[in-house]
Amino acid sequence: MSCLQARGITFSYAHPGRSRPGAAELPPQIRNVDIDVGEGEFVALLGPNGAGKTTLLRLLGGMLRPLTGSVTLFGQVVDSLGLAQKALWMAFVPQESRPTFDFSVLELVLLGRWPHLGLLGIEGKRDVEIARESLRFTGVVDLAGRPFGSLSAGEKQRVLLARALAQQARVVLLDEPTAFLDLGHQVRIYELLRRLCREFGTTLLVASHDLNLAGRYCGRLVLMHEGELVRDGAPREVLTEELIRSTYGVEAQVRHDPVAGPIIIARGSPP
Amino acid sequence: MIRPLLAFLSCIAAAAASSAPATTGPAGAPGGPTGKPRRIVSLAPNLTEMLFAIGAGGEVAGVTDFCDYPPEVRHLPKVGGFINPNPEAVLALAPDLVVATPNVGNRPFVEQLMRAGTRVEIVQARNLDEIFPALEALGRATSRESQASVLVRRLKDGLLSAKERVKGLPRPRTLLCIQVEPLVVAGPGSYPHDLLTIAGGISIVPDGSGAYPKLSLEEVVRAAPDVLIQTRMDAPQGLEVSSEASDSLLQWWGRWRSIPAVKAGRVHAVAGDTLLRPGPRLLEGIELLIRLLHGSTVASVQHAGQGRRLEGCR
Amino acid sequence: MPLREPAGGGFRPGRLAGICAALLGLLLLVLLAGLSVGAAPVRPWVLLSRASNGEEAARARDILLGLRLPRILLAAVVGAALSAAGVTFKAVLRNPLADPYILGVSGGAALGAILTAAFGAGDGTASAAGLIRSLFAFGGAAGTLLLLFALARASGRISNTSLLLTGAVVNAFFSALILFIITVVDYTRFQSVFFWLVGTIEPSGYGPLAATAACVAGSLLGLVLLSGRLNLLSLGDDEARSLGVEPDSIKKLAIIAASLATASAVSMSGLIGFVGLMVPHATRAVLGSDHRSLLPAAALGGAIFLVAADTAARTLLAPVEMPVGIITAVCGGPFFLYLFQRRRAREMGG
Repeated sequence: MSCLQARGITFSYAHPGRSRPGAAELPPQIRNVDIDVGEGEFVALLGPNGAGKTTLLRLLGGMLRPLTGSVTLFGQVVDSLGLAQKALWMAFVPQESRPTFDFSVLELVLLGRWPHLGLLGIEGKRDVEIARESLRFTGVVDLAGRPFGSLSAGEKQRVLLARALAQQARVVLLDEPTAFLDLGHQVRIYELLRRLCREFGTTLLVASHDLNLAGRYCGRLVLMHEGELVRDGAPREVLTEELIRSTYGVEAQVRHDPVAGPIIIARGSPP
Repeated sequence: MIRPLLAFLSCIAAAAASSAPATTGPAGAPGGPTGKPRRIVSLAPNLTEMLFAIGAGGEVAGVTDFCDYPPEVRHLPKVGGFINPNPEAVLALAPDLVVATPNVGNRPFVEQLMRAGTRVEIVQARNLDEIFPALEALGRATSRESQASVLVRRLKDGLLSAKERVKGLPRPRTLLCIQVEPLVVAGPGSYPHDLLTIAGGISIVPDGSGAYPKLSLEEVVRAAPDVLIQTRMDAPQGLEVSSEASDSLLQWWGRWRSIPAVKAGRVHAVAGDTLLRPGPRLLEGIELLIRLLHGSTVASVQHAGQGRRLEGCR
Repeated sequence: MPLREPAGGGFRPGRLAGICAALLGLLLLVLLAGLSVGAAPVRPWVLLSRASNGEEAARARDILLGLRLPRILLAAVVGAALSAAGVTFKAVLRNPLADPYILGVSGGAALGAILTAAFGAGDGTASAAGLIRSLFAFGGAAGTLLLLFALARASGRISNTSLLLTGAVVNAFFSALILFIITVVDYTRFQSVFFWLVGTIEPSGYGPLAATAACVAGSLLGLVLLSGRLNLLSLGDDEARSLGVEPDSIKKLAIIAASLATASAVSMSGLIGFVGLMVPHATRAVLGSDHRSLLPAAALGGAIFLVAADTAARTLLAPVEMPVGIITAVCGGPFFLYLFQRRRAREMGG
């Protein structure tokens, strides 16, 4: 069953109303994209820098408004949904978070409960329990009392993920969650995500740089290039040598491992 | 943003005011012709009054925006403010003598004039005692020594006679205010305080408070003055004060009815020019104070001005 | 950090109530102390004894009820307003160094006050003039707020950068305008405004005091209701949105409420500095950054601080009074040195 859908999306960061005379119109970031994410899927958005992964993610998350086309979430147009309603269904995990003030880990995760709190915004025992559970799931419950700023990058990312969990959203969008992490943490994050998908049926959409890990853990890959969808399908179909060459400009060899799936070995730039 | 700027400015002002002027001294300062000056510019209202009082009025060619006495100076060319005179305007009048008194802001302007080669006479007249040497200095600078000494003699005689008149009279406890919100008063060392003492009043401002301290209202209530006098600089010429101003002043003080001055209705708003400008009208100022403090029975000169009484406050 | 939330739980209204009760108790103590000291050696219990004769009693009443009481109450109201506004602006602008004057509201208020002085109504000789100055200062502040929103909105969404820049521009422009007026108009008119610009608490009538207190109370109530959303704003616009809160509308409401409180305070007491900068920091160090606790606690803390500072300002050099802005500034310097040291130590340590 489709839960997150985009039809005919185009987007550009230049605002036509404010263009200066003589300034060239920037090429559209996203050109005519259609995408259908089914419930419970674990999808990765791949593509080189500037391909539009983050932009598309933010469009799907309702943080940006498309110039044409529409985004629907569980059948409702995202634009028409109130922010509060959308927050009950969809969570967004940023690449990094830098809150102005020194919140504790628990306080930060409790903020994820906001969409569920009443008018006064005061959390109850159950909300605290959910927050702790989320921290337990991501393995950082021992850090609950620590200031967020004092954590390592890997720990921070797991806290942010815990917050998305505490939000109890059915769809979670993640913007390059492993960008600043070492290999060990990268793997752990993907394993957590896979657990999330399998145990709770959460729909996951991850923008990623890491072809190997995405190919290993995600059931479906969407490859973007210069604002367009180039390929959408199983890892085998998307991670091919020709596509890697044409999208990333890299000569690569693709091997298939029975456990890890397609493995990309980069050989260098084309001659 | 504004606060640091103003704090900075007031520090500079304080530094400028506290340091001694660059040149003091009588006529004959280097850099200018000696002899009777024909075109004088005055950079202070009290100095303007002094010049006219010693008979040099005919030579005065320019005054500040705030000079307003005698009335004829209103028609004279203006050279700028008291703390910020305009050197160009001064030089445009081609003066052969400029008289100035040091204040919080005019030092750079005066130095500019000196550098331009103008003859500048710095005259200090901050309180009663300094008026006489100031008059004599101006007398020397304008070659009117005899007129100056005659005036000095007359003023000193007038002071003695005033002291005589009030000798033996009860000395009312008095507060002279410059403004009330917040309360800034004339304290020991200030000119109005000197006049008050001569006129037979006792200031309730404690010693060591400074010349124009911001005084606590609690202290005023505690000290229980018999007379409250407020000087206003925007009053019309002379001693008259608009009745609306007096009324609102009385309303303001009326919040604290335990003050004897309020109970007796002895709250007066008066024109400040004779009380705040150390100059030749010091006898008029003392006259005004004597009238306010002791009633019309001892006043020797008829004046029109007086404060209003607080109704129904007995 | 003894009062910081232990890992065991989220926000507990009970805990906040306890903290506020303690602070309220401290405030009452400080108010009593403020009522007991001053330039005149009069103590509050004098009012209770019937033995003193009529004149002395009348004087005591005038001093205690006519001077000290309205003054310390005003100090409490202004302190609470500036402190709460400080907390709010830090959250909205995501800048720990923001103070209530950062968006230029103070510039507008100062311009209003200067204009009344320049055109005669505020030459400091009567209470009506003081009231007019308050009204103009408030009007100036409100006008600045409108200008601020108009300018910030012209550049698209109300981003923090555009707010800060607009605020800086507004402040600079008003400073220039004020200096221009000062140099052009009769300098004797500005003596009364000088103290106002440094910040001073004067014993006002109970009418204006009540009006100010009502405005500030209303703003504080609004801010307390918004305090939970301020937590979300601190995360950043995108994250706040993803959690269901529209940053732009919250920012607008918060800025309006905080500016209203600031304008009310400033119109009565002038530009008292450092309260809105220091008290939020100090409160945050003890209670943590959850704005639902921080805001009410900082408001009470600001009240306590300013009553104490004003008491010092009017007793240290008695019977001469200092403007309270000088005391707060004197506290501000060492406080920030201390903060800076702590930050350095923390960075070095880990």
